[in-house]
Amino acid sequence: MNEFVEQLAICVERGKVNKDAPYPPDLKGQDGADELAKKALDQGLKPDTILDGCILGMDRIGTKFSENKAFVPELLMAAKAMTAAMQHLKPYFQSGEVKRKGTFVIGTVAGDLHDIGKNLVAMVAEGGGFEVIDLGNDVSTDKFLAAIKEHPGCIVGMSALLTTTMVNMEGTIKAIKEQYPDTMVIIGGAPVTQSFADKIGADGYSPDPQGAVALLNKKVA
Amino acid sequence: MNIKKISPNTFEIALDYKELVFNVWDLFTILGYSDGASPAHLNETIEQVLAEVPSLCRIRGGYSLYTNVEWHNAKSVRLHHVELALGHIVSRQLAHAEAIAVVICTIGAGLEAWVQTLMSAGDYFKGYIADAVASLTVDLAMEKMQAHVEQEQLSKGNKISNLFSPGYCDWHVSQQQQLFALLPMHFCGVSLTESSLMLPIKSISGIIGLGTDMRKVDSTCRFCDKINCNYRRRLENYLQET
Ligand code: B12
Repeated sequence: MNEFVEQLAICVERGKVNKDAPYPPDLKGQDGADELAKKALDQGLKPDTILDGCILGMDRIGTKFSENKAFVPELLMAAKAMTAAMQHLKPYFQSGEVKRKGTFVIGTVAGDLHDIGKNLVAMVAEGGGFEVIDLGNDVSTDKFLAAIKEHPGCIVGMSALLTTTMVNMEGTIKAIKEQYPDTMVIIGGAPVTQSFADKIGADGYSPDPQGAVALLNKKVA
Repeated sequence: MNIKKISPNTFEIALDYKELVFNVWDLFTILGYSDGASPAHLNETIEQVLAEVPSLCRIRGGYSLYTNVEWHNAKSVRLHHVELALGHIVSRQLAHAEAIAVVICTIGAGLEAWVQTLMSAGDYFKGYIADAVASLTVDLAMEKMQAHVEQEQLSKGNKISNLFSPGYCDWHVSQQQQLFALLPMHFCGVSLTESSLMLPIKSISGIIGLGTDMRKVDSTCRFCDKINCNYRRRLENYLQET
């Protein structure tokens, strides 16, 4: 079983989506995340092990990314491989047989339309074992509140790319904390800093997706 | 390059994608690969993206010239009743400007719409590369606009400063509102939201100082305090090569 987790983790980390995928060249013709996950289920391995393999692989590539040893394209390939494996888990998520660590609601704040950074964080959080609800761009306070109502106990993430839109985080956080004081809110995006996060009452900040997952893990630990 | 005078002080420029000098190494750098790492696995996707780009870009830019430059104090200037709170860093660079060009440039919304399509179809990899190509394209286009302004000024015996943009140095992004007040409405198809976001997204704005005592430095990154930035790395690589 551990051997399977390791094999899948390698495919995820290296971005080996399926057998036909030409990338990475040195794994050409070998099974990818897609086939491995399917075979595992066929062989009667517990579906949890697939999630474990994904988490391990995404954690490794995420760490390399934080250390500037891998870049966004590699992170995206890894996320693609992870998605290919996770696809086989859908029925188990629905039936509740496989549980995720928690729910992460993420959106780009009101007035802002930048979503590349937010998408990356969403993907890495999913790979970290969280159910991700992506609210998209230009997300109003009301939309965040509605999502928290729908997903009790969720953790909220907000992204912004300009200082003029970053300030909208403050009002949204205030409204969230008023109605749902226990909800953890983490923020990020190019102009955001730890001191800004502290100032507006956010519970966490990270300059990169891996740090975001570390914050999420701390909360659910 | 096609230049149209739309009022005595305003010029609109249309550029063809082919006029830009696209260097794939620049792209590698902004994707993160700086020191000679060879991301061979990206080549195919980059080629596919670059094949689509020319038909999806509509490069437009232009500028309004203001010759009445009134310094309000050491950190703000007034151009035609509009006060620009430039901050100390930018003001110092422009203190001797005899005129100021207010510039914008955009590649239109076509490429970013394609990026959205790719992303929603789950092709984040290609989408991300297309997005980076789009950012680089508008940067290169803006460089062309600056070069054009420089040529025009040289012929009058003037020099130009670097381009300074709201949101850089100590000039706040919210000042985009003032900058846009100095340009015709929807100039080059660019509009500004209440939150000071330009639409289309792949647009750049700024001002350039003109005059006999203006100076352009190699890179405005030296005025910026963002150290961990792939764009800074791109400029540093470039400066090392030349
Ligand atoms: C590329 C770029 C552009 C491109 C396009 C941007 C785009 N995304 O489409 C172009 C050239 C068009 C551009 C234009 C402008 N830009 Co610009 N741009 C950048 C640059 C160099 C990279 C942005 C980027 O795409 N990064 C890649 C993504 C993946 O990173 P990211 O979004 O930051 O997300 C990461 C992290 O922040 C984090 N994260 C993101 N969200 C979240 C959420 C949570 C919860 C957590 C935990 C983490 C997290 O994880 C992500 C992955 O690592 C940055 C500087 C920089 N190095 O960041 C400036 C920057 C964003 N730009 C800036 C500015 C000011 C502008 C302009 C206003 C300049 C002007 N006057 O023309 C315009 C505005 C354009 C508009 N439409 O209004 C400023 C914004 C700060 C500010 N002062 O407000 C920056 C930060 C540069 C600076 N001065 O330091 N820009």
